[in-house]
Amino acid sequence: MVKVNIELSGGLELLFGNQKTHQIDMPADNGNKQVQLGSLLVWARDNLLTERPELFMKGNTVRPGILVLINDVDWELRWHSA
Amino acid sequence: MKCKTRHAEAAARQREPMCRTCLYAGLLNRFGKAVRMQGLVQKGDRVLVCVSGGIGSMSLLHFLSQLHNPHPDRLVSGKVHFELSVIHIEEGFAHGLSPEASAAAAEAVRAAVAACNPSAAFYCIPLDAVFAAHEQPAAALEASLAAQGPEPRSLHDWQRFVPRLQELLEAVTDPTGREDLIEHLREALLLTTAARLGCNRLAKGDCATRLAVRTVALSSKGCGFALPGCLQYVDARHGPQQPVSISPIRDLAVKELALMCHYQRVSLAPLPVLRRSPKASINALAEAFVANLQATVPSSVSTIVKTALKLQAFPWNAGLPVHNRRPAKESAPVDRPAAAQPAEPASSSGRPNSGANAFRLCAVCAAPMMLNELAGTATTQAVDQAGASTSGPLAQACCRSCRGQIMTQLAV
Repeated sequence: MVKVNIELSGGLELLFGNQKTHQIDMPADNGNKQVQLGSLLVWARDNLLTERPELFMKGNTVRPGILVLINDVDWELRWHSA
Repeated sequence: MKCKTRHAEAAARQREPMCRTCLYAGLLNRFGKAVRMQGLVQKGDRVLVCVSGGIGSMSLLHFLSQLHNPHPDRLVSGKVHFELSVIHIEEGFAHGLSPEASAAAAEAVRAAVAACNPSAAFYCIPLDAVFAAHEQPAAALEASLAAQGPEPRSLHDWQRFVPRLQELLEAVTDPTGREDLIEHLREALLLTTAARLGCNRLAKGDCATRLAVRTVALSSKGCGFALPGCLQYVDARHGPQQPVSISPIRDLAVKELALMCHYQRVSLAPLPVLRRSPKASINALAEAFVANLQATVPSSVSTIVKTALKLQAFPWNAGLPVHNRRPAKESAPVDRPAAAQPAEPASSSGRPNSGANAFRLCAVCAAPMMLNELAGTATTQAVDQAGASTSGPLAQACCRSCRGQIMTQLAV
């Protein structure tokens, strides 16, 4: 299991029961101590989201216009350097 | 731009990697430049910041608070002495929230504003006060404004207008029309209140992304003629006696501002209302369209805004005269960025809004009416003889484009 803190702001928390922070334990991928962001998004959609999944995800990623930061770093940077 | 000492954290501005310090310095610099070059906020101004609790308006409040020098007799480099107050229009109930939820949302905005700038005066006016402002202009509004302060405003004085507002909004069945009507009422109330408070600047947190969405939405609605007037730094269309609307963060994209708010711990208090679907209205569609484009091509927003800014603006959008200690150097237009230059060259010499009185504005899109659209002229009658609905007072207050869209449907 991997501990993840999720912070939501700017209106996205409305989709998650109006709760801004979530501390979750989610199963790691393939026995590693890591989770992929893609699986975290799906996990959050299935377990935390309270309404309107179409406003959160589109296909297998977040809807355009939603900013994702991993440890305060824009995920577009990680994503592009990977 | 990049300091080359810290790790990049943000990929804003067309995915340019930057650390949070460089991002913040860059944004503050671009904001300050727009304010200085266009003379948006000058010494002695009374600025009323319109705050919704969203990213744009809270960033604007943060930037203006950074620019603000509260001491009239002590000069601080890079700061300006002006009066800063904040207004929030409570409109949750117009979007279907219960009165309690609506009041709670307004309270959240008050808390966010207090966290951002504890010294600024905060006014919260419910949207239905727009009726009070029209019917009993002096007494009602002033009573409400006087009641502001540390103790929460009592809602009871306003309850009688809420059903009237609901009735008005329910009469508009189409979601786009209702959203636009709420915006229209909000603008009217902001303008009246700013004038009542004696403010000469009404600062709005319209960012570049918002302008791109507005460009797409207005052109889809057939309000293309009004479009260039809504995109400029300065909007003085209501005449020289009325407060001037300014949009100092017009050049900053919402992503940069969102990252800035996160890193600077600017609290946000967005209205807790969700649209029924991403395709609920033309405005929602335009938002989704711009967000999709921006996700694929990161220069989309700036391309849309730059293209729309090529349209010729109106005389009321001309830059404000800059009162400066060094007028010869500062007023030279050479070093202004091309996009920031209002397209009307002639009128900038005099008062910016001297010509605004000459315009009669369309009641719907607020674009100036052409001579042949003004009521009673021979041309109007000739053009409009087809539709019987064009003879009403409302029809005569609209430009031909708005009349064609709205009145035709009413007639059917």
